Amino acid sequence: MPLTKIEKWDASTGATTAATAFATLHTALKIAEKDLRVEFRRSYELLSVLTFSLASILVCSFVSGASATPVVSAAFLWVILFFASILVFTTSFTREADKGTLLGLKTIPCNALAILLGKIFYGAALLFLVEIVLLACAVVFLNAAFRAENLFVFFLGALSLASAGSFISALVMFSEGKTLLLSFLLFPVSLPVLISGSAATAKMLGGSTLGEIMPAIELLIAFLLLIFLVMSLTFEFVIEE
Amino acid sequence: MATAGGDSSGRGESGKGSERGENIKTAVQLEGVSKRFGYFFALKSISLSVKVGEFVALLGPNGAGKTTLIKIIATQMKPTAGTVKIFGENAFQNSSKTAELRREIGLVAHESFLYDELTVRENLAFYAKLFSLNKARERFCGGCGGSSWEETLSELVEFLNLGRWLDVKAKHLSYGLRKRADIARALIHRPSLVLLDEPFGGLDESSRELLAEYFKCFKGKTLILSSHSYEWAKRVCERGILLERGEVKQEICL
Repeated sequence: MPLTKIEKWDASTGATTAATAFATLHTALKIAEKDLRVEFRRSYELLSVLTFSLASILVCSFVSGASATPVVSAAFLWVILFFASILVFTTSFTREADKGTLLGLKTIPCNALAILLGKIFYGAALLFLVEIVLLACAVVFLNAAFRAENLFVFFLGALSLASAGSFISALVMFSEGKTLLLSFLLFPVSLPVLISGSAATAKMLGGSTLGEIMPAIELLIAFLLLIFLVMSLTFEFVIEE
Repeated sequence: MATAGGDSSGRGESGKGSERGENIKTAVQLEGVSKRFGYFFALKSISLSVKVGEFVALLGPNGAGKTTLIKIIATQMKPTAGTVKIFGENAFQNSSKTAELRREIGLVAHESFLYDELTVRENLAFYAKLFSLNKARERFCGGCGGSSWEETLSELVEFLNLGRWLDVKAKHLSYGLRKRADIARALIHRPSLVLLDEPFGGLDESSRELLAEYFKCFKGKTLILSSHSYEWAKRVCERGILLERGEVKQEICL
């Protein structure tokens, strides 16, 4: 009965829930820290993502010259970002599954969502780094106007793409042809992020204020909430071998 | 030789087991456990029981279901049917219960859980911190804490003779050293139940001897190891459970 549930909801239940959330978040941060350390030590994967991004933006600048409109510049940036995210998430969970270390993560006394959150934080940090490099290049090569608000849109975009990418990376990690599957699945799933992110960036580069791009930001936040709900309901089954 | 975070740490049978209740005598109890992959039954209605402090070997040829059984006991894999009780509690009752029980379990699997790019120290610290975070959580909830993981780390490093290799990246370790580092990783949180999947596989005779001596020192802990070598299992365990095609064929005194 609902009444019984309310009666049971006392201070200790609240403390336990808060403590579980605290432990989940901290476990996720530790996993992300470990992943970033491994990534920077290995460095060739990060360098290949950065090289790809740089080369792509240079090609875009050759095509459009310094006359790229904000809409074209935003499209360039998000297309490059999308392909960079494929490169990042191809190895995110797959490497752990292939090397057997995923089983090690599953020995940790925390819920499975902590592992996914760790991967999301790691992916978001890497993508945000790529975005900063891209934005700097866009300012130089595409004559884009730099505004601090762009970083906020890019941060939300990185987090949303990382959420979608990590979740799909986990979904396909045990299947054959996982690289192909990831590319196929990531596009439709991240479409809301690409649409709202590129629209917001185009407006930002065109001189709009933060208030004017609020609908796009709201869509990004709604996407984040929705994917988080889906992840928290299903990830325990996804990670099962 | 010191014990592997067992007696020396004051844990094991008289440690975590008693934290859960003085009268828990059974570390692992399986009732009718089956595991199916598609149409293939890896385990068929397995029922067995392992007492607290007992050293048990799961014996059998390749494909007998030893690894699947170890993974199920380690709560890494859910059984298709049946119940798994660890220290008297249903291991798959809910995810928070499963997570809680993982604190009692140390698993050394076929694969190494160490990250190649991290040093042995960083690997051990990574796993230790993830377990000690939950000790912080325990304190937050009003429970008791425990000794720091740094103390356990130095005990294990001494016990497994890993001192020289602590700052070496895991990818540069030999197979035998990596196995030892993996054992240290599995024991870093002072588990009461240690699960070893084919611990002697791929090792030379002297490394096997060394590991067998280490395992004998796990006093106070419950140990389950899987092996297809009767001889090596006999060196460590008191009881053997012979598996064949996913079924318990025989229980034997080793």
